[in-house]
Amino acid sequence: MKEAYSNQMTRELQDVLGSFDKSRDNLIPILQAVQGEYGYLTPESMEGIADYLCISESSLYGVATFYTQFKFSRPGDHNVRVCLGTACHVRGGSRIMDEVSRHLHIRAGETTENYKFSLERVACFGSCALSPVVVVDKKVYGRMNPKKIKNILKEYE
Amino acid sequence: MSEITLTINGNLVKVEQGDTVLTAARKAGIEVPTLCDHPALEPYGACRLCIVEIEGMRGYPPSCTTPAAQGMVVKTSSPVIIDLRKEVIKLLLSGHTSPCLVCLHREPCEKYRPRPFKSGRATRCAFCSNRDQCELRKLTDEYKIDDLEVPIIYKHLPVEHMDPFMDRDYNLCVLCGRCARICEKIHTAGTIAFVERGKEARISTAFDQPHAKTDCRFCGACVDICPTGAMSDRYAKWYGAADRTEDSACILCPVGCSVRLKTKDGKVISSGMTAFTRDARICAVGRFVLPQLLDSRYRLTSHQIRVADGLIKTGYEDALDLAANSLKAYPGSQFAMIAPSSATREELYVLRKFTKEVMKSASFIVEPAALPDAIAGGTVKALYALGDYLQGTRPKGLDVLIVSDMFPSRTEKSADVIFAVAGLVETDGTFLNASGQIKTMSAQAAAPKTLLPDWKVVCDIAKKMGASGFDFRTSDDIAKEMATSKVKEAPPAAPEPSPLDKVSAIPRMYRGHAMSDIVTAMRIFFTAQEKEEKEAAPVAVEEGKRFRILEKSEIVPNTHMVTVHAPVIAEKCQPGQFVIAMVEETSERIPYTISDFDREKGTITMVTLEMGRSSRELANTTAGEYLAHFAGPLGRPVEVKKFGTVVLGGGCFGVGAILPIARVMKEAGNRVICIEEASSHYLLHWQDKLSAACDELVIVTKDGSAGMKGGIQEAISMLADRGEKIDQAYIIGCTFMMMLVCDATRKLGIPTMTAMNPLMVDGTGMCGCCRVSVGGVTKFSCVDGPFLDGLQIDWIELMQRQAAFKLEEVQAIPQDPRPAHDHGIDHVCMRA
Repeated sequence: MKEAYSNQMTRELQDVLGSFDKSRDNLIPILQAVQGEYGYLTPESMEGIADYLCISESSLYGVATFYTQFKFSRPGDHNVRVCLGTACHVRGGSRIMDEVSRHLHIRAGETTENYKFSLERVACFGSCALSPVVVVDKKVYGRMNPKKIKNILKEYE
Repeated sequence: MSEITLTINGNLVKVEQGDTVLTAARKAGIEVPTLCDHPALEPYGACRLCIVEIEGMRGYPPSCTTPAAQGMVVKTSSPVIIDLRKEVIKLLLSGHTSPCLVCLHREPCEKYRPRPFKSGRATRCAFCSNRDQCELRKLTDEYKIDDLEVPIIYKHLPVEHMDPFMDRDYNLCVLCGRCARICEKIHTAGTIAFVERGKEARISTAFDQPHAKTDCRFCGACVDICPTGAMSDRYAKWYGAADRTEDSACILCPVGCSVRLKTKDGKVISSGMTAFTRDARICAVGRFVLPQLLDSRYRLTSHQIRVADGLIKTGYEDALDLAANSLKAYPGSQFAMIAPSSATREELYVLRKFTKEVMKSASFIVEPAALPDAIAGGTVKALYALGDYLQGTRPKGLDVLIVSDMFPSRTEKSADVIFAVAGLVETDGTFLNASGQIKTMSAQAAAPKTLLPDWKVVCDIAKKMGASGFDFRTSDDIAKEMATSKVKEAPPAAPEPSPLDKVSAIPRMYRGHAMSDIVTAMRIFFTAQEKEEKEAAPVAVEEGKRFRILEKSEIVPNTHMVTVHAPVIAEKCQPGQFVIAMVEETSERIPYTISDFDREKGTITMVTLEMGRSSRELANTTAGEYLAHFAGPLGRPVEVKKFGTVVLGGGCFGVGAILPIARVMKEAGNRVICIEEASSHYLLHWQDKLSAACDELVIVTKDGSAGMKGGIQEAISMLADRGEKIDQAYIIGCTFMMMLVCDATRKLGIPTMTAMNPLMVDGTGMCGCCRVSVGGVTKFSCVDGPFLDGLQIDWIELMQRQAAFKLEEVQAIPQDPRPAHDHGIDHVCMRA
């Protein structure tokens, strides 16, 4: 049987939820706002959202897992996004991905043990002229090669 | 509502405005195939099987979600629709493990193997408990699909055995969504839903938690509505289809729900809702525990009486005589009776009447009242307890204790007379439930050894005591008397919260027994404290076990490789020999062919399929654990000499077994051709090892997804056709496969030795269990085999002998949840 994660919702979660009407139409905006607050969606916050909207946790989880924008594990301090869209792919994006993966010892979708980095693969940033592209947090790095990206990652360590 | 008229397949059909095209077709008696559609659910449009052609409408809309309109002209089975539907079915099958459907040997397979194998994972129809009820399979047959063209993608999801009562194998799921929709319909906030998307889409709970960790009520609706074998009732699944269905009532708590019982040869194999509606929902006990209580191996089946040395089994008449004679001396307040609340109205009436009129006592107690002081205090000298109500201690001053029960208990152990009785849905009658409804029970379930219900036993005692007014033949007779007498009945109090809404509130007790002692899977619902009290300290399982498992993996679905450290066996063993392994002291002795051995490391490797209780025990082990017993090498080694060209054929567990033989045959100077047979590409394994050990490796699959399509016999025919002169064949695999191969090699004149795998006990020629008729002579597989002349074996007799204990094998399958285990991830699968 279900064990309640927390009997009282955290104050922050209550505040986030309180700014939305209790309507299923707000489901995705709420998920985005909660993720904005915590960085990812925890079982506790999902339970809180499901209760707030009077929907089942499983269907909420179903919606959230449908979209790649929602995360269920704690992200690292720095979010490394490697583009594997058509142009980047052609110009060796997967070699960049392999190098980042090897350097950080994680695969796409994972976070390093020390929560320093998380790694994501992205289909296109719309800056194909700069391919292959890596975006760390909000900074865009173009014309990457395995050596360059390794040095860039070192700057964030 | 206004009426509209449309034309379907040339017929004018009148329907109500708002009806769908599917409803209209069905009203006109026109069959349209469906899968995601279900009478209890709203139209969904997921499976696309019900597509139709509608004049003036683009494309092929699904009829289930298209509203009928005035003047519409619909075609439901035009050639283009039939072709498209076939494509839809093929695409559904490509995500469903069904190579059996397109196998060349399907007809003889189903003839000689009428029941599916009790595997841990359904890798194909022959291994699927739902084979004979599968809706997808019916559609495939109806549309005569015998070639898939698209490959079958095995999703490699772990099978979920970790919850009580149900197994879930989403590798078989076709995403019709019936389960998630019925869950939502019945419980509003459903436990399961679609998660992820694209080819990762599947049914799951929030954060993929086991159901026991969610608010799942275990009502079983998802299991009962699933069109495939993806969701199954762990207890019922291998019994096959029921032969009777009848409604009755579950009286294990005051809610007293109606249940639909499915029985087979009188045994209740499942108890479910009478309709897929919220009002008809039932709890985990009504759905899953009830059948398992009745079928419990702990069930009392003999009457017993106390003699000087203790309790002995006796006949019904003797027990009645002793009970009647003992009770005579204790009339009035010296007598008391404790009855269960889970009894029919008629039963309670007779028990009360007996207490009042025959025993002249006022002490008729219906549990759960506390044990009255009169009993504990010594006033009561004779007690008739219909359950485990004394909690072990026989009160001082009690001269006579009569117990009637279905299960053993401490109360029963101190009794003078014990009646083994029928109960619950094994008796007919009526039940007054908490909502004041009178529920009718059907005595559809046959009690073991035709045991009688309590009311009959008490009537017989009354008659023995010379009382009149107990000549009831049926519970209807009792009901008639009750109608004339002024019995006051009040509905029992409803449990709060309702077990229908909270799994923590499900009934726990029956006749004073904790049901979890009888159906142990219920223990998962215990609180931490209860668990601590209930679960005895685990037995040190490693004690006395000597054979360490060094390596263990599920190499392909349902196929396990186990490497055991057994240096003495490894030193002596020869290719072709086998070992007998027992995981636990209580396991069956199961022979396993040696698939590989390493004399230096002192290891023996076996490849085995999970097919029943004992092979499941082996499949559930992990590296580092120990086996209780491991005996070998047994049987005769394969004869190694220069034959010329030797063909080695292996299927299922036999693939591993041909490897050591290939090596020695090659060393002896033979040209060695190995044939590996599998149902589908995702079951192929060890191709690299076999390739290295032989001159040529031929791959055959039953669905043609890898290598040539067919079985080993087709491969041998192919080799013969291309001019290969085969001097000797060795075949290892299931009995059915070896029989088919021998049919082919007999025609081709190829000497063929086959490795027997009959039921075996000692493995040393003593018991005779493994006998096989070879050319009219009885051979023992264990000492004369395992390799015997396949061309002379009486295969039909062998298969009959192997099926001798099929019911016992089903009963032996454990019902407790077990943790999930992944299969080896080194396997190259389609998911990557």
